[in-house]
Amino acid sequence: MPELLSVPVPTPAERRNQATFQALLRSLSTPGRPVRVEGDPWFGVALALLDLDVSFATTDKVLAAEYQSTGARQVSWDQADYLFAQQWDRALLGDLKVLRIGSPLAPAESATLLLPAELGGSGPAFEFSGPGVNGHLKVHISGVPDEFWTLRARACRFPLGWDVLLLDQGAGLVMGLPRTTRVAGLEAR
Amino acid sequence: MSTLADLAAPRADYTFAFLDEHAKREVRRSLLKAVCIPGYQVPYASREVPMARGWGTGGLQVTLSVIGERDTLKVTDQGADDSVNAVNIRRFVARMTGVVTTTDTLEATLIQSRHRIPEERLREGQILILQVPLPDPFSYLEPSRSKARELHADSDYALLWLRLYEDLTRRGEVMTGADHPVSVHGHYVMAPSPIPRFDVPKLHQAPHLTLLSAGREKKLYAVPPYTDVQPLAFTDVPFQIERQEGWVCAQSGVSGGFMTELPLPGGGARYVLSDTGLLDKLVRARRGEAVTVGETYTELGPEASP
Repeated sequence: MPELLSVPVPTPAERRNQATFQALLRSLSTPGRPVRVEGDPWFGVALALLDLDVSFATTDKVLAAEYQSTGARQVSWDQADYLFAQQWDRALLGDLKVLRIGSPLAPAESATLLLPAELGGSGPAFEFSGPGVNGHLKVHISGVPDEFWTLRARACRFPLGWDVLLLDQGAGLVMGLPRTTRVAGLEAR
Repeated sequence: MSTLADLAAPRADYTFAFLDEHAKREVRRSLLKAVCIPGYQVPYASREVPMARGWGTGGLQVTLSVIGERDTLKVTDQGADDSVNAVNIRRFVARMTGVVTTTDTLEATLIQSRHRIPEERLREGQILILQVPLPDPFSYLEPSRSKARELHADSDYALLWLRLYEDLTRRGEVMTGADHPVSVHGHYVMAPSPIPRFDVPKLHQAPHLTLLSAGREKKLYAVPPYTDVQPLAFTDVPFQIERQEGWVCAQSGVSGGFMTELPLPGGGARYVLSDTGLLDKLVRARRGEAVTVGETYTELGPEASP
């Protein structure tokens, strides 16, 4: 290969996608530890993950247009690869019951769910354990309804299940919650 | 109104980190699923890279998809930073990204490796990327890929146990050599890539993230930090690492690390540490240079004069 005149420089989009991806990789490999992401995570994470090879579902009409501009197909909740729910409500909790959990032959063909939460504060405490956690870790998460944890425990039967990225828009943080993480509530919520 | 020129990226001979954004995104999505399902082989597209399949294209694609401008890269081949494979991969990634490269395990944020895990303990935040020739532990045992997938789904590893048992009855010991199958998170059994048995215990509850990728076979998988990784072994025949007692490195004078055996003309052999990054630091320390040698996985024996 001839010597290059200059080293390739990432475009701003490439730089942002790479940084966001490393944040997601770190957050899913260390569940319970909030990881910083640059910019608005509802845009940044979507742009780092979505393209014409995958499908998505979202509750937000404005963001849906943005997500579609990546080429990703908008589909129903029971078919989507990536699900973006910017708000918690009753309908969303119902939708969580139908998400793809993969099959024994293809557990990776399962949904990845992006949900809002407040991280790093002094909200309800949980104890995380499992892969990525050194022993046990006390984690504070607010803004997530109790019912979510029940639904998650019901859906995640390793190796099947869905994986969650909790996004804190205000603080610019993301926390990974892969299907392998065991979560126990520490105090009455 | 924006013109086409405003929207387009400035002209460049190559994309940053060689792979185009679409290819990287596909590898990245697969990596995230791999981390969520420890030990499960996630299929991926495996694009062309300017290197022949079987020479580390899987590891290279993962490195190119993960790496950012601020990363520091180390590449080793059988522990050596200076072998043809390692030098070429390191030079290629450096040309395509401009990242700093190193031979020091302690300085690296990303370590791409063929067939070894460094001797110095990896820490939280470091990422080890292993090149994998055969990702499926059933490779030589079950010719049908579809059937092997079913066996993984059922967690039915009887064939692997039978292979270990046949080794024991025929030869009196397990003959896996490198690539000893390991059970990850109590479910999937994975091929840890052809690392020596000496390196297998380094994966158990390790603080670093391990990503494994087979370019030719188009599969990648992962071991997250602090995950159980147990080599398959019978309760009454414990797992054993290679027997290298009494082997002393001819250049640094230490024992206890994994050694390369160099046959001598006329019989006999001499030994040197396989991890050349560590060897280099030990030799420089002997010369009185100030170097930081990290804590090693195995205790290095007392220095004898080489």
